[in-house]
Amino acid sequence: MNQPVKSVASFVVILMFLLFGLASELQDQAFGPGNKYKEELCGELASVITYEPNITINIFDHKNKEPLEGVKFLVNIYYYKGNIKFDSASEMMVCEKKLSGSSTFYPISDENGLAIVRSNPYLFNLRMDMVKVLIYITDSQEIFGKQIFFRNHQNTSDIEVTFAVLEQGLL
Amino acid sequence: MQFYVQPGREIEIIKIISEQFYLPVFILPDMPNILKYSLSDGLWMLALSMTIILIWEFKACRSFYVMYSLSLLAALGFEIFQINQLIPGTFDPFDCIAILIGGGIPFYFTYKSSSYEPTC
Repeated sequence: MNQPVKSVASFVVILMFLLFGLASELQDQAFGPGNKYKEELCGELASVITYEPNITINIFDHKNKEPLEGVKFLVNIYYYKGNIKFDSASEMMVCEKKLSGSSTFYPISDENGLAIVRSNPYLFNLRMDMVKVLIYITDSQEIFGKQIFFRNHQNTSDIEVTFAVLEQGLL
Repeated sequence: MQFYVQPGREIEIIKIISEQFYLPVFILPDMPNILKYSLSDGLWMLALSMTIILIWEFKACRSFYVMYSLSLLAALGFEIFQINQLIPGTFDPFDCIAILIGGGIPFYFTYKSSSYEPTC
């Protein structure tokens, strides 16, 4: 190839790459602002927030109100942060819940019917929307479950959940 | 049994199954935003600059430098024009750094391995 041909080829290649880049940006922004823009918009926090749910589970027999010892639980803690998403049905930007972390615990109730979960600290340094906690008693015959939601940066320390179980024999 | 999911890409049915059968869900670490958004720009510039070098057959001459500079300016301009939305997209200084690195690496090796010639 001589020099003018190389120059033209280079120019065409640069133009093609720019068109590819433009097509990629247009595709990203086909339904409103692109992914990067969306992530910068949704629910930014002014400062870092530490969530450390401290959950006390209290269990007792429904009939005689006696505390139940040795009851096994499964506790799942889910951390969600806000994420703006284009909803094609309403043609509007909506803030969806984006799962960003989870912890699982298997506490057992003591002689006072108490099971305490102390989760590891979870940092939200950009956006936070919700913390959801699912607590289940792991029993093969019947499910006893509770859900707790924390929203809008509430303090989640020292949460108490009470289970009233039908019969001790079920557990 | 347990599920491993990428953050933000969890499948609703996996969550429902895990919650019903007490199966733990582990969230894998999220990729840093630099890797998610800026690396592609750097690789895009790397591909463009390597194509230019291939066209000029690894020879460093004046026209090559002109075209190489033009490609770098075009890529940087593509990013800079996003500031005032002349080109769609979100301006990010890390993209500019990635473009400079992507364009600089092949240029460095070409410059090092070939001597300057006025024409090629």
